[in-house]
Amino acid sequence: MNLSLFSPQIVLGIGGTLLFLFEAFASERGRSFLPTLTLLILALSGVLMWKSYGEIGVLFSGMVVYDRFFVFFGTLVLLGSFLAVSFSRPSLQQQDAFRGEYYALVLFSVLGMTLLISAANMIIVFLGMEIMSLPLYIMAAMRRGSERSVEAGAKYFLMGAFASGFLLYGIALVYGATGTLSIEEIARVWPRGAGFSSLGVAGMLLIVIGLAFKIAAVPFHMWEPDAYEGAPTAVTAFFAAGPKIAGFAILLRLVSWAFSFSDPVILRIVWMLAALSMTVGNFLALTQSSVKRMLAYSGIAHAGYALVGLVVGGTVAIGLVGYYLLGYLLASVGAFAVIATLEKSQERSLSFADCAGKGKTNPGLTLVLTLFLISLAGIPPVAGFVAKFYIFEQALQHGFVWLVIIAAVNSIVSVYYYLRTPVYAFMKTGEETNPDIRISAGLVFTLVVAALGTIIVGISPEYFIKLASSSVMWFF
Amino acid sequence: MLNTIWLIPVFPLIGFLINGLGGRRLSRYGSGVVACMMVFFSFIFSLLAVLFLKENSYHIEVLDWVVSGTFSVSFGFILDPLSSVMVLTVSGVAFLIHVYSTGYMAHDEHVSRYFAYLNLFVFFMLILVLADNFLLLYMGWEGVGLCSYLLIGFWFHKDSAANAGKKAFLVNRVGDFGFALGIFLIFWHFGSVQFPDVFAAAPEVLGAGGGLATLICLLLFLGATGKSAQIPLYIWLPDAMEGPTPVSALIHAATMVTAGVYMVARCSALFVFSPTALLVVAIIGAATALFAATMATVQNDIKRVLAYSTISQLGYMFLACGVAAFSAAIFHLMTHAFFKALLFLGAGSVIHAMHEEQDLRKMGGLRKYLPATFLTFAIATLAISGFPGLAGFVSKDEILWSSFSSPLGGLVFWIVGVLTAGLTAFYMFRLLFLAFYGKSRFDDTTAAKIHESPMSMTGSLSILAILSIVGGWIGWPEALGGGNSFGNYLEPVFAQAKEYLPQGGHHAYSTEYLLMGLSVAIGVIGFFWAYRWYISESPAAERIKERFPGLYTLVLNKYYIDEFYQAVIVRPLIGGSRLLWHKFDELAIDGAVNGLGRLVRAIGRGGALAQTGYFRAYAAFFSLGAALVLGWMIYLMR
Repeated sequence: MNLSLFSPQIVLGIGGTLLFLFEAFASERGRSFLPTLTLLILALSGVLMWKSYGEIGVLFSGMVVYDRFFVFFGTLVLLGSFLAVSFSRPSLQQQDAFRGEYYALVLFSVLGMTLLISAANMIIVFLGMEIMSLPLYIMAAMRRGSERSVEAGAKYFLMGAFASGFLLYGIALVYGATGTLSIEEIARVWPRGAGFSSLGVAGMLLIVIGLAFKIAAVPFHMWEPDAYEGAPTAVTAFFAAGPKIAGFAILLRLVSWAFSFSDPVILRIVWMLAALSMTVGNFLALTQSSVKRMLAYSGIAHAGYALVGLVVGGTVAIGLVGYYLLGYLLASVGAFAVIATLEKSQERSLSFADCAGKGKTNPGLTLVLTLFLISLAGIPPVAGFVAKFYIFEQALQHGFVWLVIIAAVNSIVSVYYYLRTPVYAFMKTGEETNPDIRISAGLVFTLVVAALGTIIVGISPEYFIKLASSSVMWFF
Repeated sequence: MLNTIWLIPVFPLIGFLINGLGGRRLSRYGSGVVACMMVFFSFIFSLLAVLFLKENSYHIEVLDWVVSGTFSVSFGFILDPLSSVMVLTVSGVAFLIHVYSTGYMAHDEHVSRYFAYLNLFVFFMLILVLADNFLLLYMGWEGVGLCSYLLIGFWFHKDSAANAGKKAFLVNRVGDFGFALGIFLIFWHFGSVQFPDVFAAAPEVLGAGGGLATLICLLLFLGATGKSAQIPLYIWLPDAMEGPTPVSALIHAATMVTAGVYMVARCSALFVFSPTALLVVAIIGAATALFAATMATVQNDIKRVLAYSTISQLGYMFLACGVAAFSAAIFHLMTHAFFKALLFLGAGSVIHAMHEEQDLRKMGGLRKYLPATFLTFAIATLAISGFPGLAGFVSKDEILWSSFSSPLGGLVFWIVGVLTAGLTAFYMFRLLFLAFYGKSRFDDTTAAKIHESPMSMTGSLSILAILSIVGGWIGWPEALGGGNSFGNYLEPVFAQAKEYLPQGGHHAYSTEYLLMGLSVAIGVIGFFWAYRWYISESPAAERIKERFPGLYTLVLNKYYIDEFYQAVIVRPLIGGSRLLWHKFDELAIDGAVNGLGRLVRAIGRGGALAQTGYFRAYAAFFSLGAALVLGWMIYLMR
């Protein structure tokens, strides 16, 4: 067994533990280095992840795999976390949520995500899920003085526990139907074509429900707006970047590897989840007055668009889901970073009306925010458009005409609320300026990387799509 | 050397970026220097590239632009004799006008914006003439149109300038629409928009006859009538004189307005397959030449005389294209660029000296105040009137001779051309006499302030004056012992077109001498006519006015064409649009859109009610969803 293939996770685990200890004994000044240390550990993990790119290794007697899929989605998670951590300190401080343990929790959560993405056994799926989620609950409640924040954490925790139950029960049923927990083994005995046992299908559906909770697909989405809005905005950015991607990754791995996805039952159910998520997410986003909550609902809608790729299936479409998530990650982390900077009060989150006149007072910030929103809305030439375009194209080719019609109508609807912020920022005049906007180096880094990424990934998509589809190639 | 031709348009683009983005940080002087340098670099690179050009045509593809299925277009450039003449003319004249502008615009507040636009214009113009495909040509075509709009309305705080810019833009849209349709048709039938592909396939696709060649060529020509101000779309050019005078010289005399001529010449391989289209081109050209010349005879605004003169001279060029004398058209395009730019710059110098006075009736006797301007202006006047030996004589004579001798030409075209030549001499000398001779018609305080223009302006004038004299010599006709080396230089470009043209009979030199002599004689008549009316017995002009008041008013008011368009096209269009706006757009479209929006928001609000915030509701919803999923599964698997 080549342990070095597991080194990304090891680094995150040890790094998180050390950071915890360091935080307990460090002075106030020492604590200010925590973000930097976190970034270093994330970067190191990323480097180790890419060191053996192309190899395939099964570790710990088939518990964990190292493959291209792990590297691709692991990189997405690390990139998202990196960007979310990079601008976090001033933003957390402003919201009175800067605590040392936050950074250790980030690392633990990322460890859980990487474990989840590399899982080759149902036990690791569950374990990874819990390691990832427990820190998230705490992070949501990071603003200890704020009722909303604590409420968000509590709700998230309760709902998460609830969903974990479904997941676990599903795993148990699948074990009952197949007699194994190894994903590879399940894939071997899972019937292709006819002959599904209702026990196995029910187990599979329960697992899908558990994961649908993590990616916030309708009707398992209710926690998301509350958790996103209640958490400090830097944490929200992390929520959008990390858990959602990791949840999608394991969903893709399970449905395209373990449960060969030819079963019409699950196809229809995921079809319905996709259609519902897009529609409900978009329609609810329309009515929001808070930018942050609007983005939370838009995250639900985006889960729906990405699920379209899962419905289509096959190397190309599943690869495109990966590409889609990359575009979503860059744009949403960037957008949350801008919102975190523009927010002024601790209790009330940024509303559209607050954005009025920001185009004059903070032209740079509003301009990049517009770029991210344009990408989320799927307007050319940036990443969001290209990803949507390719996924819809695949769906059309495979005959999912109605799903594409629903998706296209939803895209049009979404333009309304995405462009509201720029409209307020550039076309309405605000009553006062906000003098205490701090632009830290970390924020500049996040915004520059996210903006350039959004543009580059959109303008020359070939490389990224190839990378994403080569990562899922071996499932098929 | 040749693989750097893509730099030729890039230099002015850099100048545009510097002046456009950092112009406020540059001094007035700095803006001008940057802009001039960039155009100068373009000129030097053009010159070197042309000197290094050994083969008939050099083709380079710089970047992929659009790649979509079977359709692919690149940023590609072609350097052949035709584009060589164009880049040299454009960059050379543009450089001189840039230098002139540093003096002319020295007191303007927005000099960096001015130079940014001017550089941008040069960029697009160079793209236009170097493009290797229709789409890139079209990009340059639209780009120069944009710059023309921006520069006509440069003093946008003046209503007349802003309106003139709008008018130019809108009238050009009509032509550009036709041009775009022509390009679509070309892509449809040829499967490509690359010049080499299209021209190579032309005999196969268009040779079969039918209306296709005529349709494509007439649509392209419609584009040309817009950009090059020919009947029926010439009406924007006189108004375009609202822009700064160097702009009129560069864009509305020397370069942009000749883009239509260039385009027709470039597409000679297409036009030869449609004798009908060529006939239309020739008729429109000849008619415009004569018609515009008559209007030029009565204008009182110094720049408007020149504007009508430009339209008329462009008519000559199209006449040449129409009789398939493409090299003669390009030759006249070049010499015209020299002397017309000189005339405009001279007029600019007069206007500058007179403090923005453009009315000829308030000038007179300026000869002694502005000696350098007068001298160069007189040279340009002689050149455009076809004084033997000067540039205008050589090129115009070639056009006249071709319009007679070409198998596609005829005596009628020659007569119209010669009449126009006579009118040209008349109105140009009228202008010269009214402005520079006779008694001064301004008061002494004005006279005291009149001063000769600075070196930057007179220097450019002098160089253009020299070019107006010698510029024609490179195309000296064979009949006068020359070699017509200009025509021979362009020969390979039009070789393909020539194959498909009917061969004309040989004409003796004696005929050519006779016609040449006649046209010079008519020019001299025009000169004496102007002399008699405006110098020796100056009340003569007034008597004509009294004797034919109707005719005079008709011509003075430009035959009421503007009013005609206003009544027949603009008013009904605006009225119809109003109707659509109020009745259809506001009621039907807006109603539907807003109603839909309200509906969507109402649905959203209804949905938001489910988001109560209570954990028990969330858990219930979750369980309900799970139950539905499982229930549906059981239903499906039963």
